[in-house]
Amino acid sequence: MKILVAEDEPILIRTIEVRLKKDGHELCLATDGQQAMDRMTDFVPDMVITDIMMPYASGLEIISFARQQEKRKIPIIILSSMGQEDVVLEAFKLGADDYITKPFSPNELSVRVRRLLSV
Amino acid sequence: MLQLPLHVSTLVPNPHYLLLAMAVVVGTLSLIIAFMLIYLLWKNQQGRKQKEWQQQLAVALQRAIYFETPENSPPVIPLTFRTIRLLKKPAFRQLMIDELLQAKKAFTGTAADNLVTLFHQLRLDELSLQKLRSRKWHLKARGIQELAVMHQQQHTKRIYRLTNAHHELVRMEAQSAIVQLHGFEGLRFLDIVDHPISEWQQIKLLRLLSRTPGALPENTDRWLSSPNDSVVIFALKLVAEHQQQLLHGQVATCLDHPHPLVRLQAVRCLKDIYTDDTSAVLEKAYDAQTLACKLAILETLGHIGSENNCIFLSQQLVHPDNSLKLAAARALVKTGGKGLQCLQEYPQAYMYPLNEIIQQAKTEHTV
Amino acid sequence: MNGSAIFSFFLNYGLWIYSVALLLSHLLIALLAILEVRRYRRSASFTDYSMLASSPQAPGMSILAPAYNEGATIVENVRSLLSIHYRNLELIVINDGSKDDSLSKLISAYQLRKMDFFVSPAIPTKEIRGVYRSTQPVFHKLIVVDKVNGGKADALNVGINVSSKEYVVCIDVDCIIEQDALLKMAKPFLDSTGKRIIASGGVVRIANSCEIRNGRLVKVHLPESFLPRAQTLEYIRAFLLGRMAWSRINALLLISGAFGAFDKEIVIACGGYNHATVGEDMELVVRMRRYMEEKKIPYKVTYIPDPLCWTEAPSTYKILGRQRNRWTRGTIETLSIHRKMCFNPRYRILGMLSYPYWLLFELMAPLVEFTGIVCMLIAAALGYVNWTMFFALLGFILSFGILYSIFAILMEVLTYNQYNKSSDILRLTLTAILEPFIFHPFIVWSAIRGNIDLLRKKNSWGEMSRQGFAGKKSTAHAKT
Repeated sequence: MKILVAEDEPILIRTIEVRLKKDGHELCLATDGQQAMDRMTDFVPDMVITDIMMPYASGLEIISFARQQEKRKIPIIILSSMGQEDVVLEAFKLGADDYITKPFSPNELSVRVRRLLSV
Repeated sequence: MLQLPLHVSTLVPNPHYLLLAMAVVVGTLSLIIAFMLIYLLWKNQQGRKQKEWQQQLAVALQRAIYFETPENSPPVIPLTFRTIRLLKKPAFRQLMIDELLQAKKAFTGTAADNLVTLFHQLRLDELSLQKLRSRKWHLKARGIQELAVMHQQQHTKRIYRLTNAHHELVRMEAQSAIVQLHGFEGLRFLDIVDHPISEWQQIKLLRLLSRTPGALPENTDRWLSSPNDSVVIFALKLVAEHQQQLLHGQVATCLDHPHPLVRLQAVRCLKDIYTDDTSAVLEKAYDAQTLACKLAILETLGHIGSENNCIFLSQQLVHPDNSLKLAAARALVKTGGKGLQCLQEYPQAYMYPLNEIIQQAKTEHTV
Repeated sequence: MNGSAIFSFFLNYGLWIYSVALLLSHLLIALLAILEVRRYRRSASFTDYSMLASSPQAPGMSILAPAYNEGATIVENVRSLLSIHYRNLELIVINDGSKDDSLSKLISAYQLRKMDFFVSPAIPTKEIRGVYRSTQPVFHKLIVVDKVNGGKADALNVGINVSSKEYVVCIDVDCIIEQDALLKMAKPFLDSTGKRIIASGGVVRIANSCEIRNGRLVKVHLPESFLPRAQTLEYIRAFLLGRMAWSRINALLLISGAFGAFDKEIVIACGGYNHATVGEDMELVVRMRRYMEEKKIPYKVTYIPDPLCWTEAPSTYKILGRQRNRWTRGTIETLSIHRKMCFNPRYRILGMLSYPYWLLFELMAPLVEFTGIVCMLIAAALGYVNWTMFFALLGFILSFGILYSIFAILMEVLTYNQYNKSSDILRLTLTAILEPFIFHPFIVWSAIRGNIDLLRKKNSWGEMSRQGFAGKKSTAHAKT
């Protein structure tokens, strides 16, 4: 499956990349919001994983963009920090499917990805 | 840029001295320029080296994060020869510590445990301890931070001694470290701390505590009567966050505390631990309070109040301060049917400024 | 002793002492600045600002952005302001009776609707025509206020009246604000234990020739043309050295109108911005400080050396001249309003150090310099000049000035290093050397004109025409 990952923290994006590649997915990485939206149209992902707070465009904008763009509904997971519950709620209203709070376990992320993609 | 008046005078010293001074200045200038250029070259070179090192470290870290301990043998995370060789350089070791810290903050579970294992394996904890023992405050603080993030509980005693240190940043790091390592148990330092705890530090501590399991310790009520005002404020925040209704009585007595910020925090706290008596208590304490406190009381009454408070709230509509009028109107709107009725029936409800105030309060509520 | 001897005696001693004092003050400023910047950066390295971004306990902040005829770029500017990382935030854009389509553009871009809003009359202002909020929840932080034209001070006062938060951040709407700027500005307010922080200022950097995309600064470049580059150097000196030094001894008098955070309660207690002066930003800070001194409440005004705000500097002499003219008039007006503080021990360091310094060295320096030149020309015409002496003195003064600038560049290189190419540093150095010959005389002249204009009672902003950051977009595309 093709997954787009948008995350500005290098250690996080690298770790997610390693894990999801090991799980057999094809990845497209973006380190800021604008990049994520630019690459989304060409890459046509089957799933999007995005952080909420990123330079140039927030995760919420990316979710709106994704929902407007696509022809079919793809699962979206958001990465949030502690204390961002209201932003998470906002994200769900815009169409996110699941969220994971930092710090998190990479294995858990992998499990959630698998679950959402199998649905 | 300064340009001095050009003036000729016999009282000004000998031109030779001036020329000498000018030569010194020009010399210094040239030295600085040369230094800057060399420094930039060096910095760019360092930058490149850092990037290379970070690549190496990234690989090592990923290996650590996804390492699976083999059965019946102690965990030893494998590293490339290159990495081991680079570890001989102190700069690389510090970079390794920084990257480990960043990674440890990002993950939980097996990944996090492995990172701590690697920290030990490479004996980087010794480096952190060295920093802790240093006399310079920024090294001490850095050492404390490293040991705390990497779960080095064995150094608790040393760190605990620093929770009341003289230097503010060392103190803050030590307090944060103890809470990181021991959760609510670590809050013992609230008994001994003389210096005030800043708002920032309180936010930080609350954040760290929200990540740890456990309950508020027994002596929370003692902190509510601490001589250190900031400790009282912090305790009130803890009580609110953990909904300790049992302490309602003591929190209510804080409404008489000499410090206005303590009283304000007490009002906010009562909002989260309210009982049937709370609104009466707040109404009674209202008149003696500062403006900020009064606003907080009105807001709280809107949140927890009922029909019984409508009369009191209506009385506040006549107060000269408009922000109080608005707060009272908002509170009345929030209490529902009877509140709205009170507003409508209020004698000056159709005159400026009350008409606009009430209109805004109503609109806000529906949006 | 006859009159001319007394006169020349006084002139000699007075000017010499003045010069030495100026020199020493620069050295002291440099030293204090180093200490303060080092302290800040070390302290900042222990701070996780992101923790504040999502904390519900972070203090509420209202960004106040007065706008006049900014139709070309306003939608972009607001968009970038809305993406600032801060939870408890409201963005109040005040349309100061613009004659263009600023308001209609905002209404359509953000789906605004006029709302019932009670505006507290805490500070008297000109009439408000309407308060608008968005129907889209994504833009719930935005409030647009439409009012009758009244100038920047009046617009800011309206913003203060509308604001519902504890702190107000006053900015120029076409400045680019870094995403974590508010976090860094909020922190001093949360750090204080004992002294109340009443205001916090941030460094303003020059954005000319920088790459800007969607209202965000993407890459920093040293300005291509001389005038903005000279101003870059000037800003580094003024902000990184000057203001940090004053901040260290808690004697700072000025926070840039382009970016400053204030404790709203104190601002209202002081009566808000004064619209009778063109230097309303400086005047407010002085008045707030004076208020706290008179009430004998311990307080502090802090300063953040991190680059948080980027602005477009004037690139033509005409516009630069108007700006400096206005700054001079503003300074004179402010100092005049508060002249009671001069050498008044009741105002402690404010009255005994800050005010006199500003009066003698900032305000009078151009006048003293100009007078000195005139005197010298007269002396030369009359044949009194000792040329060796003259050139020695001139050489020394010029080289010291250049040294100070170079030192400022060194500070910049060792700290933020925004211009990290050797070629950039060399160009800055060249600019420092050329400055006393090209840039500085023009600044002095503008200041003199400011004095003259004030005497003639001209008080208006003048038309500040700006290229706008939209113009810069094409630069970015051309580069890529």
